[in-house]
Amino acid sequence: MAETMATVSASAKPATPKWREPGLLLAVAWLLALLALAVFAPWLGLVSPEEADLLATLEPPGAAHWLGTDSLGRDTLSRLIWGGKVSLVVAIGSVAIGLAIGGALGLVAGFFGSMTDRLIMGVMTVMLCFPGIILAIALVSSLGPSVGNVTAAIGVIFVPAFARIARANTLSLRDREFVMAARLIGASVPRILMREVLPNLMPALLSYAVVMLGVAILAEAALGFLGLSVRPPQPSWGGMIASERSSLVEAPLAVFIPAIWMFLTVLSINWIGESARRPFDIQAQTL
Amino acid sequence: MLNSAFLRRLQVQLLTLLVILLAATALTFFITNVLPGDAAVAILGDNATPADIASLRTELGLDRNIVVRYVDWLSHALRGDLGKSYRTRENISTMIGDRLPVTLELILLTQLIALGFAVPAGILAAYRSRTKVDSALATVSIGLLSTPAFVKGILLIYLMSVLLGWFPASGFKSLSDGLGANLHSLALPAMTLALAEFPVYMRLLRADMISTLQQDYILVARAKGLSVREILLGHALRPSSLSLVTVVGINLGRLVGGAVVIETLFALPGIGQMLVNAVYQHDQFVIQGVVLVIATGFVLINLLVDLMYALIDPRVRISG
Amino acid sequence: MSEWRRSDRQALAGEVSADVATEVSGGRVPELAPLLSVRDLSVRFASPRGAVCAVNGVGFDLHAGRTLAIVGESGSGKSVLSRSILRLLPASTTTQTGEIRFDGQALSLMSEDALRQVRGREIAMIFQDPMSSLNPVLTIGRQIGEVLGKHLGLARPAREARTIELLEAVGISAPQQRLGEYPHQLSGGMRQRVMIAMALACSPKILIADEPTTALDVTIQMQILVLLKRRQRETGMAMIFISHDLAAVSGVADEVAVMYAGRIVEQAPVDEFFASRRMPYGEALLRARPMADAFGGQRLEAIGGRPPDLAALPQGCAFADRCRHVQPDCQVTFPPMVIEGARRYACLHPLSDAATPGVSTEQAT
Repeated sequence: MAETMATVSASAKPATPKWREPGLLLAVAWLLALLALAVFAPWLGLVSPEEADLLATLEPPGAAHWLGTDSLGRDTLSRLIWGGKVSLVVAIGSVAIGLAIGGALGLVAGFFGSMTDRLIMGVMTVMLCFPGIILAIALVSSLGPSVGNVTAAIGVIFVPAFARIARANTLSLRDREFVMAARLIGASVPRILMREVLPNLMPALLSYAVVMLGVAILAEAALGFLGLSVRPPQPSWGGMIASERSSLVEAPLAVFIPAIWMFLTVLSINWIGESARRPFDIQAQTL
Repeated sequence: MLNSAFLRRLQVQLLTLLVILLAATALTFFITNVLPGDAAVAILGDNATPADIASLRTELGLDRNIVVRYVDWLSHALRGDLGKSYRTRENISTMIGDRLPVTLELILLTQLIALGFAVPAGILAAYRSRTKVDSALATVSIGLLSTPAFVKGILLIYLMSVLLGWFPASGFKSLSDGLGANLHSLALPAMTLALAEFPVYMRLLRADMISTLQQDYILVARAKGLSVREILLGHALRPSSLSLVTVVGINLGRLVGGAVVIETLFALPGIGQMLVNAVYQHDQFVIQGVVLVIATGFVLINLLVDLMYALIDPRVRISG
Repeated sequence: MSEWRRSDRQALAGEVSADVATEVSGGRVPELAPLLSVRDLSVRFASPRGAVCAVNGVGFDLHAGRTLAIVGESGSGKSVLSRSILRLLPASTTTQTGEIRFDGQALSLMSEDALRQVRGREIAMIFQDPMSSLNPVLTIGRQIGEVLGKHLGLARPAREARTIELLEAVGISAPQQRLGEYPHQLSGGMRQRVMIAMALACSPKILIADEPTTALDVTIQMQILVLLKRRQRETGMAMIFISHDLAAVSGVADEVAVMYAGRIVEQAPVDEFFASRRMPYGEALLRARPMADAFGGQRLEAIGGRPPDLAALPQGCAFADRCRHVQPDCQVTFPPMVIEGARRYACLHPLSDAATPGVSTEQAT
């Protein structure tokens, strides 16, 4: 009887409140637009993002500069688009690194168990002892700021998290029937890993990867804020906010426009991740 | 009656602490030596002659074998002597002693503020799940998670300091200047960090609560005629707090170094700042000392979290 | 059921006959007005396939000191019915209609606040699985004590004393020690006794017991039933006993109501029910139990087919496509309730006494 009540009430309310649907569309639209802008940036006929015009510093949005200018008179919109390129590359690159290396390590640890597992997870735990930002700072400051180094640094930070998820899922997959069946027919270990385990691991890893894209953008911004992302005058979202911080009182827009731009981007990513999660949300019992 | 498995786990934890400390410090030592950059160069600057650099290196003991240097450091550390900073020649233990409390106080305040809002919000969102209130809270959460901490910080500075003038935009007043001034100077940084933790905590508690509210014993509590408040707070909250406690624990450990961005933004003399500066300057011993402290804190907190589990869920500490 | 020890069976029989003896000797005059009166109770859940009708026009009376047993398969609606009396079903997804009158008040119309005064105090419930029904992080003392505090306003020392009394009354050893213990430290039988102690704490007028013995060892089952029966005799408490276990029912019930697809399809005093059935479903239920005196190789009589889809109930009798005695008009005409003396049933072509040989209560166990 309890099953009747539970299963029925689970489907009783509509899955998504109606007003969230347009939000999803806007999120996807924004991200696609951003992607397009970043990819086609060189051909858009934009003002150079590095060209300083000291006669037009800290201007609010207007006809000449659609989103205004910063404290060196550089066009904000142009810098945001070019900075977006950096954020995009760093985000996708670092998540790819974390996914590939972390996923592989977790897979191996979970599948083979015992000493391999303890060793790998031990290393992961030690890595986790270092707050991510510190590790990134250490790596970038030693190797020199560049898109590649930032991507590598953030990617390394992501490895333990992906490893944990891959391992947890592998542990539960390892004892499933289709894996045992593959073993029984004599499939080699690499083949089992690639053909049986990995495809089933991907959904969990990919959904985590989506969330981490947003985190990567925020991490790059934080590094940029500390001056550890790409070298000026090359724009990066975090660097833009950092450099305009001192003008906060006289021209707050110079700080807030890049902040809002970045906010909308990460919000869109999180919104999409959220919508993917919703159908699995459990129903409440009312009191 | 005390659960022997639990006691054994505590022992294992303590042992693990030691192993992790050794591993973390050894790893740090070797990595900082492998990475390009040199302390002597950092101290003397670009114009130093190779001879100067070489003599400084000898003075600092940098020309010895790496393993020797590590063992040397370790033996001193075990006696409580963390050495001196290459750069400033200050005693590192003293430096840590000065700066650690600042960071700790910041972290403590952050958690208090974050939990103070997240617990009621989480309970509310779970109780009113799938209603407008829940959706509103979820939206606020996503919004907060989509902004980096320093942007939140700048926003708060703009609102509370520039526009309203309620709080200082930067700087730190220690307890010796009075508790009020002390808390006042930490208010904005703590709020900033709390804004980042709040959505995570709220959603965790909400999810656990929703699943707890499905349990039979909640139905029984209703059948006993208990009020909504008695059920939510007295019966549902405790069993739902395990994930929250875990994550709070992890955050406490993470924030020790992770607060560096906020410490920079608000010019707080905390331990994260200390570490970052040491990294820039290849100040080996400082890095070692701080990593030791952070790693110790990390594992100790894991221990604490385990103890909290035992407090919350009697099945952990008492054998059935 | 035939594994119940003779001593236990005798004890239960003893309680029941003590019951009867009191009645016959005039020690207790059955109340004329029913304590609980349910009329036309229906419970519907919203679902994507349409409204699911879990309880469909149920009505019955319950008098003080009496036990009404509600039997049926899983999915018959008995648990939903039991929860609907105290309005414990989730309000956002459930629609409950019909009238429930208790002790002169209309439960169905009461506010939630007023209803909370009734829950746990005038009407109490015990559930099937004692492990999941007790909060694992709260002590036994706390879980029983809070009912005493909430409804009777007892202070701490009084609560503790009364809790110890209650634990003793339900047969739990070392009650003082149990106060500080947690559910996982007790055995299944002890946990169910704790549940009962919790339910009986405020001496309720009605106890709703939803499958109280199903999750327990056979040996414990009988002890629990004896306990409940004794309590009834001592306090005049009425009981609604929900079960699919006809043996337990034969031991405790005064009246038996059979539910199918959300409806009561037959109701009769217990002796009459076990003597003969009118509605074929009731008959099939009785026949579907393994008999201790069955010979080797005898087939178990199961009821063929599956329970109906509660979202798409048929026009005629809901049991029609599984009934052995089905006739053409059964599929088409909704069988109305027919009253025959103390019995009532909903069947267009009821069975006769001859077709349903009696089962003595001895055999029933």
